[in-house]
Amino acid sequence: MAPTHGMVERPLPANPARLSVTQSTRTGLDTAGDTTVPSPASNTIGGITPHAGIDVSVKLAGDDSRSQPPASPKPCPRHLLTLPPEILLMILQALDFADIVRLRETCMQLRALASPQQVRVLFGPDRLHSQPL
Amino acid sequence: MAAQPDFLWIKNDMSPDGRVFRVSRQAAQHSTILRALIEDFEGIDLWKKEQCIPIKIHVSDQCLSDVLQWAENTKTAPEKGENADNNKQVELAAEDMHFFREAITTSEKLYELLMLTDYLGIVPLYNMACQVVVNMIMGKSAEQIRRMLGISKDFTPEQEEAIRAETAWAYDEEQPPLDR
Repeated sequence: MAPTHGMVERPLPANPARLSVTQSTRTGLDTAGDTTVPSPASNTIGGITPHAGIDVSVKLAGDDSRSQPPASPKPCPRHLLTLPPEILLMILQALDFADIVRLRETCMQLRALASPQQVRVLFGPDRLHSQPL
Repeated sequence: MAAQPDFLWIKNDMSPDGRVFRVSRQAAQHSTILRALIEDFEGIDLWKKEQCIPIKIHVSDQCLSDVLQWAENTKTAPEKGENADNNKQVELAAEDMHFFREAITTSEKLYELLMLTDYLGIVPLYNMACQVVVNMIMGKSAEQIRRMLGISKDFTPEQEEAIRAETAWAYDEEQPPLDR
């Protein structure tokens, strides 16, 4: 990606209008293909042409929209509730009924997860009868 | 000296720098999938560094190295064929308690530990991690659980009223406890 950068940018020393055009084509190319373009590179280009202030802001907006899609698939918030359901059910399985009742009162997700049907399936008849309340 | 035949190589594939970790044959026995891999590919070049096994989930290198360190340190042979003991309360041995106190200090780390041990099938450690979460939840009120897990109440007032009514028996102090 970097060599094409240089090729596009170098022939335009001080033409803000043309620069903005190449910017838009560049971002278009990026979204179509490679997503791992380092944003610092575009910032240094902005530093080389200081009079093209508007273009820098346009470019930054483009960078933002580009950096968001790769961020979403990565499970950034490592919150315990974002664990996959099979692990949550393992935890549920080791809890007492009293704890499950209280857990169900905390939020919608846990209430849906620890539904009576689910608990029945999870615990099976043997434990349902031997479970102390 | 030929290539050391007693080490597996594991690569943290989703991490940007992708560190490669060395796992001894003995430590690999703790993981059901690594054990199965060793059994299935015994005659094949599984033990070369180029043949590293990728970890395809998002975990930090720190967590992976902690778990592998645990596997190296834990010498007790994993019991084979022991299943259906989910109902049993997991007892944490002293060294495992130490592991949890040292390595698993935040809920993010606990999250990664659960994901990784589930992925690798390290059953004893997985059960212990579940037990740690259970201990966190056990005996707490709904509000305490919410605060601990950092979740917000997302019920509408009507829903909350319905839930209250549904579980009113749980808070009825007049009723004598069932004797079993």
